[in-house]
Amino acid sequence: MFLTRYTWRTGLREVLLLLVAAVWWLPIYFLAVGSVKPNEQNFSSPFALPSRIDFGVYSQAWKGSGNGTLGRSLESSLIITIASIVALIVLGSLAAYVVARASNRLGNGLYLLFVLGIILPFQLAIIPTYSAFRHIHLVGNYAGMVVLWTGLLMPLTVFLYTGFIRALPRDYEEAARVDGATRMRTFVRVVFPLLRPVTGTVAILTGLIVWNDFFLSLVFLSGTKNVTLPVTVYSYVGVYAAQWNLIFATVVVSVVPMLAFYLFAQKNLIRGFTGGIKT
Amino acid sequence: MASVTFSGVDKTYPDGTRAVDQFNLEVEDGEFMIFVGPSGCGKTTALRMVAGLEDITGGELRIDGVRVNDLDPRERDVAMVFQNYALYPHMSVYDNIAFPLASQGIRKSEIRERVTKTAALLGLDEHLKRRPRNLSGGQRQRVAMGRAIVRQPRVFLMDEPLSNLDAKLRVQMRAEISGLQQELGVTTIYVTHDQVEAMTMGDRIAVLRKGVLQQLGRPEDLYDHPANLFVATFVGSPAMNLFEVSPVEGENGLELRIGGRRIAVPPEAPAALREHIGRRIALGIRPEHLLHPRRADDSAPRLSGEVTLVEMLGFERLVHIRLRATPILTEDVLEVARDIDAGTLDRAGEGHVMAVARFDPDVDVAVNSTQDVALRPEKMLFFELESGRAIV
Repeated sequence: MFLTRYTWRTGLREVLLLLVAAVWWLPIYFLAVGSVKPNEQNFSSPFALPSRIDFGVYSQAWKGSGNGTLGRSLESSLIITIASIVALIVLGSLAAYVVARASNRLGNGLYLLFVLGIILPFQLAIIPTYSAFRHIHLVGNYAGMVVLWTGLLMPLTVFLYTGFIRALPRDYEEAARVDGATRMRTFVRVVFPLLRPVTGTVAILTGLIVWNDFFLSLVFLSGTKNVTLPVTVYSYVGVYAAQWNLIFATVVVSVVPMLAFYLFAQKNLIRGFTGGIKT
Repeated sequence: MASVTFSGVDKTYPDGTRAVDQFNLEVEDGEFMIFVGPSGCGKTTALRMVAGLEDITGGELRIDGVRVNDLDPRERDVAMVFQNYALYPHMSVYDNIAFPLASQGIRKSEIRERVTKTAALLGLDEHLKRRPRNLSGGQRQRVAMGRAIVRQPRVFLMDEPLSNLDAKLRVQMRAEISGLQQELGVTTIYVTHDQVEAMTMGDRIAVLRKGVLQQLGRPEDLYDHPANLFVATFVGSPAMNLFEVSPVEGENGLELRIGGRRIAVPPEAPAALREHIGRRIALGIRPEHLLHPRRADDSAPRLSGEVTLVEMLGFERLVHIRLRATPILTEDVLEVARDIDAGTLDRAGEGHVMAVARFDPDVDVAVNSTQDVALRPEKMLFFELESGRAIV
């Protein structure tokens, strides 16, 4: 009864929450409005609504300048991100299954090794990695980026999957074994489908990291046509002046796929974090 | 179908816990064998060893004469029903039942035929497209059964399959499983801690305690001739009444001293009782063998005590009587008491035993009144106190 009554306190709380929401929306407002404003207005009156709406920058960005076009870098970002996610899910879930179900000592040892991989900063090894990748022709192409990301994010993936698998009752696997399934069939048909919530979490977390990355794409892809969106955005920042409307348009385009994916997989993401299987 | 043979089978965990100790048993072809015992007695471990889910530390396990100690579960051709059913939650009922067949690489048309037949046998036809979470407890149980029988395995293994069902459904499923087993004639090992299930379902029962086989026999053998105090107290509900007695030489032959009284030893009593003269032993008598005086012979030995509770069950009346006698508090009895109801031993008070008599419903007994009970002489059982062994 108390909770359902609308008092002045409830009203105040609502106003406060709306204000907080407005603050959170401010950057998105800037981004959306800034991308359709004439560039000079972005400097003269950055908060104002656009004097005229101009979608021309989107086509200009699409055509591109210099190395990357928006279309091409969107394609690069998508290929690298999707391929990395798939590789991480396939290899990470298998690795985590072994780690989670290995005998206690071995399992714990392997788990620790992967956790260590999360803690250590990869930047420490960037120069030797670059040099090694160049020797095996993995610099400047998609395959190299996918290998790089799969390696870098494997510890996080295994960490997430292992926690989930450890909480999964062994009964399903035992039932499958008695039912005559091989270890691989047990994993593919019984265990992996049960990992759906955490697979969603892995896909979104790793996908966001790969999609938003600037540093590694700059190091490993710059100078080629395969650069990803963040590098393309950077190419619009000139030494003396930045084309903010162009930058904003590129950012809007780069945000949309991730946002769509998040909305699509939101339920799984939350379940993956909270854990558990409903039978 | 096949026989299952345990020859000196051991299971010791790395921490030294002995779950199964020198287990010897032969489950015959087509037999319905029950493993029963309190929690932690090793019955599930023994079952899992047959399934191949638990390594065997020592001894030999054979299915149809072939040693299977080192075989993978899928090479053993056994099917198992788990306590919580372990139905694959992401698969439909059809896919759950079809899974073992698909794992064997059987053609889809044959899978369809066999799944449909099994579903019809279990009354699951209408539910084939549903997911396990949308089924009732009884339906889930049937799906688990379906997954086991669709393969036509050599051995069925069932790990407390009815423990998650409510009482009424349990009675129904009990009959269904028994009927199904008889129809299919497949060798079955059924694990339970419920001795009503054990008594009603099995051809033979193996009673386990702390990993050791206590007694193996037909349900009536276990009930009428328990091998020791543990089996005597574990089998039967309400449990067997136990009193501490001491055989003494009286004027008219052997007598039993019980709570300050003396009763004559019936002629049916085992001759070996004489070897225990002057020693303390246990006298056991089932509730239905404590008779209302009107229903007993005049010669039957009697005890008397205060009625503390009368439970009317319709077809019988359970009368709880506080008798002056020394209770049996050996570890065998206490373990069962702890497993069933830890409070039973405390309620009688010092120097008293809370006995339960099973009277006809038409016999009127008032609470707080003094009631005589007659012991059926030929049904009195005797046990050594130290070893717990039956005196025969």
